[in-house]
Amino acid sequence: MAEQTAMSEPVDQQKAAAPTLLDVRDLHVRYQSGRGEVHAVRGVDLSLASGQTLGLAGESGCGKSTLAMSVLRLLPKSSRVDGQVLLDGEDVRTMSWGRLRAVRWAGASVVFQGAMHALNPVRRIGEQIAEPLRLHGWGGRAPTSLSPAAIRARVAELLEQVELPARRADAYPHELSGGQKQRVMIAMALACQPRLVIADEPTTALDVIVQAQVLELMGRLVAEHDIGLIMISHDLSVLAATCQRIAVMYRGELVEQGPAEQVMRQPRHAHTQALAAAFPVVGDPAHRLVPAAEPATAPTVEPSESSGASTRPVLRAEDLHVRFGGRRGGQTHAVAGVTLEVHPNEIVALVGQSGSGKTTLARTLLGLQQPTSGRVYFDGQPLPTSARGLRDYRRQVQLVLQDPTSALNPRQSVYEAVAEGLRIHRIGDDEAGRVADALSKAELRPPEQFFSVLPHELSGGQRQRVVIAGALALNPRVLIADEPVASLDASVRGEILALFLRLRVELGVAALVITHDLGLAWNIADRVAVMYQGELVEVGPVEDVLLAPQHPYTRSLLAAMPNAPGSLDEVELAAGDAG
Amino acid sequence: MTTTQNPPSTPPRTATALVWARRRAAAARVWRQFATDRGGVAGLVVLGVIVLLAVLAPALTDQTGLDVTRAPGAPWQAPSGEFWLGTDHTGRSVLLLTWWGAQVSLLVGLAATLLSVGIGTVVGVCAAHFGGWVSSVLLRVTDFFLVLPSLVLALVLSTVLPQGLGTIILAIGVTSWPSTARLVRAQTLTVEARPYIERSRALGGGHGHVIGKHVLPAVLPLVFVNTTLTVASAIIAESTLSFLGLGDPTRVSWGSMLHSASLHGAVSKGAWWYLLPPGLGIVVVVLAFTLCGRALETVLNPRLAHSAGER
Repeated sequence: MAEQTAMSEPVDQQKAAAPTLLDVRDLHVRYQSGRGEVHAVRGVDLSLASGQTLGLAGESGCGKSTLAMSVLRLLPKSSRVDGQVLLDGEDVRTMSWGRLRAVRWAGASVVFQGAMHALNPVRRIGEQIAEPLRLHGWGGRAPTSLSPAAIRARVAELLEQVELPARRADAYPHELSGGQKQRVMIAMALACQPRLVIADEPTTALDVIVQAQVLELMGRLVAEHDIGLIMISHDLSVLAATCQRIAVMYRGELVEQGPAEQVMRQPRHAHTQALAAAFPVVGDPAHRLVPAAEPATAPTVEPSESSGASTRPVLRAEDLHVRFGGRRGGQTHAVAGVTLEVHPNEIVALVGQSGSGKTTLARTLLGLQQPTSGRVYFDGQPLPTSARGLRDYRRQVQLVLQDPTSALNPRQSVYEAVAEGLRIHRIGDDEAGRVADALSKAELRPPEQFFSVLPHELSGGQRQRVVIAGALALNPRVLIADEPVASLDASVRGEILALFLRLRVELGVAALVITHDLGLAWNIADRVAVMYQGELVEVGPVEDVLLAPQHPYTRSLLAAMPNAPGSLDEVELAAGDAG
Repeated sequence: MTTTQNPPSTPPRTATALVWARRRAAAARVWRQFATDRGGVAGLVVLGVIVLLAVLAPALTDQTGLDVTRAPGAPWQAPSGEFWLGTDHTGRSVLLLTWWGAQVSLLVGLAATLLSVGIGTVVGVCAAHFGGWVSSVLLRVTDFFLVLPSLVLALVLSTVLPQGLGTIILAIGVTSWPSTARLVRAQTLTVEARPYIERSRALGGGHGHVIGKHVLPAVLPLVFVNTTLTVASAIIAESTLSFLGLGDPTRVSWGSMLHSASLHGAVSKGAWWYLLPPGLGIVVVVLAFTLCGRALETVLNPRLAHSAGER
C-alpha cells in the first residue's frame, strides 16, 4: 500500500530509478511481556532509496523506534518480527550473525537518542570514533590493513565533517556541550561510510539554536554523501526541516505518508493534524491564544487587558541577583538583575535557552532559593523570610514542574498528592470536597474515579493535570510552571496549554510559564520575557516581541525555530532590516 | 498507561480508609512475590517454628532442669532415650539448655538489631536531609564507629559495664549501626533528589513533612531488609561475646553453652553432643534470617528485581 502511495507522489517518481536501499514489507513486531503480547508494529510498508531522507513521526509508544531498530535487528529477545526487512535486497531477519555484524555500522548505522548518555564518559572521543573504524574499516579497506596514523587521519576528517576542530579528538565527553556531543555521535555514525543512517530523536535534549545547527549539519552530510536517512521525531517541524518525505505512525501503523511540505501543510489523517497543530507557528493568527484542543472545549480568549501598568502586579521581582559560588572560587551569576512583573489575570512566558537562569529565577520567586540581592514582592509586600511566613506565601504562589512522572510520589495515590498541600496548611474542613473540586478544575472528571489511582496508572497528560490540581487545591493566585509541556506528547500539549488558558479566564489565575519554545509563548501568553545569560533582554506583549523583535538574541531564537519557511523569511528580513 | 481508560471506580469513604486500602494491597503484593521465593519461605517457616518453641519454652518444659544443683542426670552422658542430646558437665539435659538458649539468643539478636537500625536510620536520614555541618558532624561520627573494630569495642563495653543482657544488647547495638546509617543516607539522598520533594517544598512542606511523608516511606523497606540481615550478625555477635565469657552468667544462651563446653573440656572428652546443638542452632537461625532477608530484598529493592522492576 505504501509503495502505491509512494509511486503516486511526484517527488518519488524521480527517485524511482534509484536502487531501493531499504524495503520494509508488511512488518509486524510483537513483544512478549508480563502483561501479555504487545503488538508494537502492525503491518508497515516502507521503502527508501539511497540519497533519500524520510522522517518518521509519532507519539511515544507508537512503535516508531521499534520500527527503526528492527532494521538492524537491535530489538530485545522478547520480540517477534514477521514480514520482510530488505537492506540492499538482503533480508535482515535471515542474515547470519557474522553478516549482521558486518552490516551493522558499515552498511547502516544509528545516531542514538540522548547523546549525553550514549558516549562512554571515561574514553576520549577520538578513540570512540575510531572504534567502529578498527572493527569494520571503511571505503573497502579491511580493518587489518589500517595503520594508527590512517585511523587518526580518518577521525580528524570525520570531526571536520561535523564541524568540530580535529584537536577535539583528545577531549572527554564531559568537556563537550550537548550539541558537540551530538556532532560526535553523528561522526561515529558516518565513520564507516554507511549507506543508511537512522537518527532516533537526534535533537530532543538540545536547545533551539543548537538544534537548528545539528539539523542543518545532518541535512548537508546526507546530501553530500548520498546517504539514506531515517529520522525519528515527535516534532513534525523538525522533520519538515530536514526530510523530503514524512511518514506518520499511530498505534503501530503508518497512517500517512507523503512529501514533507504536504504532510505539514495539509495533513489528511486526524492524528497528523493533531501533531501538526501541537507545534504552533509563530506569527500565525490561527494559533494565537488557541491551543490545539478539540474546538468544542477550546476557550475563547481575548488578550488580557491588564498587561499594562494599570493594575498592580501580583508578583514582582526587583533587580534580582542570584550568584552561585563554584568549587574553585569561581562564581556563576545565574540571575543578573532581573525586574519582572506578573499582573493578575495574565500569562507571562519566560523564554530562553537552557542555562539562561530561567529555573533559578522561578525558584527564587517561589522562595525556594535565596536571592543574593534584590527583592521579590507579592501583592506589594516583600517576600517573608521566616519559615512560617514562607509557608503562608506558598498558598498563593504554586509550582508546576516539568516532568509530572517524577513530580508525583509513586507511592501516593492521586488523592494524597492533591491533598498534600491542604494537609500542610491544615485546611481540614471538607478535604475530600476540596480535592474533588481541584481535580475537576484540572479537568479530571469525574474526580472520585481518580482518588485511589496511583500515578503510574495514568497517562503523562493526566499526571500533569494531577500536579496542576495539587497546586489549585490551595486556590493560588499565581502558578509558576517550569516547562509544563516539554515532557508530554504532542497531542496532550495542546490540552494542557488550553487548561492554563481556561484557568486564567475562569479563575483569574495568573501564570508565569517557563519555556524554551517560542511557539508555546505565541500560543498562550499575553506577555513574553526573553532571558539571556541571567538577564531579561526583552520584555513586552507577545505580538510586539515575537513579530518585531528588537534584541539580536530574540531574533536568533526566532530564526532557529524549525518552522514553516514563510515565518523564517520574515524573521530574516526583519533581522536584515534592523542590521 | 494501560489502565488509564478505566480507573477503579469504587470511591473510598475517607482519606484514611484510602491509605489503609492501599497499604493492605501493597502488603498483599509483597507477600505474593515473597511467596514465590522458596528459600525465603523455608527460612520463614524455620524461624516461625524456632520462635514459637522459644516463646513456649516455659510452658512446655520444666525450668528446674536448668538448675545445676538439681541436675537430673550424670555428667557427660551420651545421647540416649532419656536425654536425647545427652548431658553436660553438671548432668543437665543439653536439649533443655539448647531450647532455653534459643530465647536469649533471639531476644538479644532482635533487641540489638532494633537499637542498631534505629540509630542508623535516624543518623542516616538526618545526615542526608539537613546537609551542611549537621551532615559533616554525623558522617565523621559514623566513620569513627565504622573504623573501630566492633568486636573489640563490644568487648570493652561489656567489660566496663555491669554484666547482663542489657549490656550485651547495648554493646552490639552501638557497634553495628554505621553500615545502616550509610545505607539509609545514600537512599535518602536519591529520594531527596526527586522533583516530588521540590513540589512538596513548594506546597509549603517543612522538614517534618518531607521526612515523614516522602523520605521515610521510601527508605523504610530498605531498612526492613537491612534489619533481617542485621539480626543474623547480631546473633553471631551475641554468641561471640558469650563464648568469650562476657554474657549474662545467670542465663543460658547458645554462646554461653559453647563457652562452658570448651571451658570444661568437651572437646577432649569427645562430648560432641554438647558442642553441636548450640552451634547448629546458631547456624540454622542465622541462615533462616539471611534467607528471609534476601527474599525480602529482591521483593522490596527494585534494583535487584530486574523483571519485576519499579514501573
